[in-house]
Amino acid sequence: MNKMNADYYIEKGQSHDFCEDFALAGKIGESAYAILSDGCSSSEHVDLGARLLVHAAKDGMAAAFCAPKVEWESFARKTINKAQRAARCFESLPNTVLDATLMLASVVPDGNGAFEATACAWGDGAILVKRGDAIAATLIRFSMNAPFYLSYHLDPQRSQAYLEKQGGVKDVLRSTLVPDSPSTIQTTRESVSQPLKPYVESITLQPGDSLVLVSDGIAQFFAGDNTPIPWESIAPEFINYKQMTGVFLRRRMNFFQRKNRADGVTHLDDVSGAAITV
Amino acid sequence: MPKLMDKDLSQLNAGSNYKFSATKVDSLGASEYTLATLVVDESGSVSGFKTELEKAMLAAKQACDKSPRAENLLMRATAFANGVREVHGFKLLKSIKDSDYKDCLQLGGSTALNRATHEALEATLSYAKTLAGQEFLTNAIVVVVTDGDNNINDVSVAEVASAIKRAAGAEKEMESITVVLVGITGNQGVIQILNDWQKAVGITQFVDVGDVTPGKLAKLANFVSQSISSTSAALGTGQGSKPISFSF
Repeated sequence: MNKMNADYYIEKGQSHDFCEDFALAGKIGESAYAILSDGCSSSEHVDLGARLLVHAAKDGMAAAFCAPKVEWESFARKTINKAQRAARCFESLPNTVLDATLMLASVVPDGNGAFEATACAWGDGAILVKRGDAIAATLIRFSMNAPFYLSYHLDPQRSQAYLEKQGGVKDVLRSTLVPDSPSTIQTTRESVSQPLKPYVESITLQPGDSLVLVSDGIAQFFAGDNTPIPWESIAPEFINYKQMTGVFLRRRMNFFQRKNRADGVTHLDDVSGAAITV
Repeated sequence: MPKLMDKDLSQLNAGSNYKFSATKVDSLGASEYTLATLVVDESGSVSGFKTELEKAMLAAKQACDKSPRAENLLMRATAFANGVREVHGFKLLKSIKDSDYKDCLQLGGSTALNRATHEALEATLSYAKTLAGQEFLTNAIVVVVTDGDNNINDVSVAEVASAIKRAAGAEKEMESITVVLVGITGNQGVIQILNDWQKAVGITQFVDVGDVTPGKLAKLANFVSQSISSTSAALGTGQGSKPISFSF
């Protein structure tokens, strides 16, 4: 049994009445998954929608781990369809209940002591990978703060309206964060024409490395004087674990939030994380 | 010194050159723990109820097992007469065997109440500091059970008071600490002395079970477990636990 560990964390933001993020992480056999979803605040009951999406994605992970190659668009189609079948059990739920992002990471041993990781994002959020002291940080942001939700696949008219208004345009910001060194951010602009197509990163992890997915709430932290705190300054807090045992992410985040309370730091948006250590 | 070192335990140093054992940090999976220490008098004068005291220690641990917060408890037990002896170090409840309490008290000798309390506080503070350094949130409770006043003067009342004050002020290491003194005497003179000692060192609460009977010691187990559960429930609130109101 390898030493991979997985954990997740969810915290309501100050501007929300209840948390619309959801996350799960765990192991299946020798492989590990991390999944999170961030519900769209302007749609109703997305707290349930986010949960349905995460559980639907989790259901697909066992098969994904066994497949020689995963077709992530097909995975996404199955996930959103499954989530929709579950949502349809409740007639009163609006068809926008599944308006939520989805991020997932799959980590599989390569048989040579290393691990092959794939991180996918349907929507916005951050992917952080720590190797030694350095953190490779990626933030995905959609124009007009409007992610291309998987749920648009269920309604071609909504998908078309979205593309006409927003164009499927996203910015991918990448930075390498090293302690005591200034970081530079490189931004590339991409566009996607249909909601099933994810942003994908393929990563090789060595023992001792960590990977964490974080919802876009990472970019909504504010200092005591209401100054926004750059996301790349917050990023290390999500991945600098002292101990990688047990609920390592919850432990780290609980400590971080205690420190924030003492320092008057707040976050407006919900924030969630799903992490894997190898 | 524990009889056999569990592979998940390490030997640590506390202030004043005390040594204690505790579960290794990388064997801990939760994000927060209550550190509970039971400090039990094994001086010659308790020989009339050794078995009942051991049963009470076991019953307290078993009652804590049923707490919804059982996974967030680390329990230590020490015994004192002329000196202080560790029955077992800070262990997760599931790691504590019932047999750890069978014949665990070695009766005879005087009552090093000051040293026993001092040692428990120093060990608690030291372990809390170790855990805080790894971002665990902790609080603590020390329950001292004695039938008599201190009559070994290697550690002064002032030193015990200072240790309690330091522990209470160690907010970065521990969210809070509760220290409870339990008298198992029923003797009004001794009760008064223990009352005075409680005030002198700054202990949170003093209760006396009255005349010692098996039934009273069974109730002692309930009191101890309720006090520990109350402390555990308070973890994360930023407050210490409120003293348990209990009738013996």
